[in-house]
Amino acid sequence: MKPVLVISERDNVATALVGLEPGRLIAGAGWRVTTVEPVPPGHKVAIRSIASGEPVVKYGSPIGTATADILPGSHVHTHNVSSTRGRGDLAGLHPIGSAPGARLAEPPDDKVVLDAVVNASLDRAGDRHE
Amino acid sequence: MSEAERAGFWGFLRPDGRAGARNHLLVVPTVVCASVVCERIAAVVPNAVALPHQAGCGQLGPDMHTTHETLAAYCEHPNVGAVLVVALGCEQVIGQRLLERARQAGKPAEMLSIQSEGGTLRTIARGTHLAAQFASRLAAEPRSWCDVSHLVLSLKCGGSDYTSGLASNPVLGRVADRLVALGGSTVLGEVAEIMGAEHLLAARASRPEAAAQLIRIVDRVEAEAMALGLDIRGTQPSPGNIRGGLTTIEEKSLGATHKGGERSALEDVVPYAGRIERPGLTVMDTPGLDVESVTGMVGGGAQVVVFTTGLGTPTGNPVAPVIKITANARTARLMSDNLDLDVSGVVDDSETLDAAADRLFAQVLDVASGTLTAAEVLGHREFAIYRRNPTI
Repeated sequence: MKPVLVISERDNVATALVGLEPGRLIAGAGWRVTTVEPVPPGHKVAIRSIASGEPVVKYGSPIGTATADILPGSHVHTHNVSSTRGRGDLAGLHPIGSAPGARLAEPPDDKVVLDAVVNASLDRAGDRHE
Repeated sequence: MSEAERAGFWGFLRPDGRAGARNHLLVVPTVVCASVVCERIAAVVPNAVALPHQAGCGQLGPDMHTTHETLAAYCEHPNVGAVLVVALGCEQVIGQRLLERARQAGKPAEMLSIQSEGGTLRTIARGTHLAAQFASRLAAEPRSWCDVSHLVLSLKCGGSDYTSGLASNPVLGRVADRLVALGGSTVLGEVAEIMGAEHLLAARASRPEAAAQLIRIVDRVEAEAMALGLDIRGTQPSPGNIRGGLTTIEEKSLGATHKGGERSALEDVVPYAGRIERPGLTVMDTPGLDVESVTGMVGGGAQVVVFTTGLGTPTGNPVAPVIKITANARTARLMSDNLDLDVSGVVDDSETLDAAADRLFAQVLDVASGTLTAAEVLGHREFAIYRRNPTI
């Protein structure tokens, strides 16, 4: 089984399919990182640098905003990513309809999402670095 | 022979043109006060199901309407062959109207009222007699071949983890697209779990009205969370989702909407338990809570539910079979009692998405033809009507 899965080429995170120990080299099409901390199975690992405030992208769409600078190889989860939707606790900061990629104004990249799993199964480069 | 000529199931053709996957006798309480009586009647009659619920009185306008329409939708449901309505006698839901809706749909139906019959025991006695007569009638009715275009498939996920978005939802999405291509219908609920992916579904709308309605209901759910001054992250994703690796509602939604397929156009947006009338993909305005969501989508006319899960969940429904599918190998082992299909091979590369979708599609047709699901065998018949307002 491949250790990680990247769904869209626009993604800046990969999903770990097995638990990753620190120091593990993982790679895919156009990226290659060494994990800097443990990543549990099913959790995400950064495959590029993500600056605080930048969108975290999975399935080719934003899944939230980085709340800290995230180094490649880092565990990406609730400690360093924040949702921008339904945040009544931050009323006014993220007005409804303002979320990145949330509206028709942003042309949907059908191919990226629709082919998610096709791309996923093509993204086998990680296996070759076992 | 083309796939369209072959695909179908052995079902019960109804006078209203719909087709049932089951032929249940429905014993329906108008109000919570009649729920126990209904359960006792259903317990002694084969193939009878009760619809115990907590509503029916003390409800404000919109909630009262939802309760009434949901109960009426079950009285008309294609998986229901006959209906026994049990009223208390002083409640808000009007039993006579449920009786009329069942009869208008062409179903044999009767009604009792606990206050008129003279209490629990007399109502159970008379109700059981009526139910037994209905049941022997229903048992004699044969199934007939129904084209697959009669099928309305409810698309559901719950107890999601990373395998849901990566494998089981895309497998279900392929089945959904195939059914729609053959003229069938699919329904997706859980509006909170569309939040963050609504742009993708809206872009697939066949009509601008459907896109606008979708955006409107997603905005409303988001506004409701905002109005409480709360962070939706307390519940979406759930604590279990977060342990499983899902970080935000956007991530959960993007994985969840794969259930709706990739090609099917969004044809319609309907209210909770509202009738699904257009072939193709419909979005129903349901909450994310599993049982309320499944209750609503079945009310809309879905005869079969496919429920993807990562962590495992037992949820069933009183009238519709619920097929459980997981792509988490550990869950498939640990909760085999509750699961119908293991597609974990998609995650470990031992099965392709298309091969898994072939198996699921065949299972949907088998179940529509009478094969029992794990939830049915175990007697899981959860039912809960969506409510927004306090009881008065």
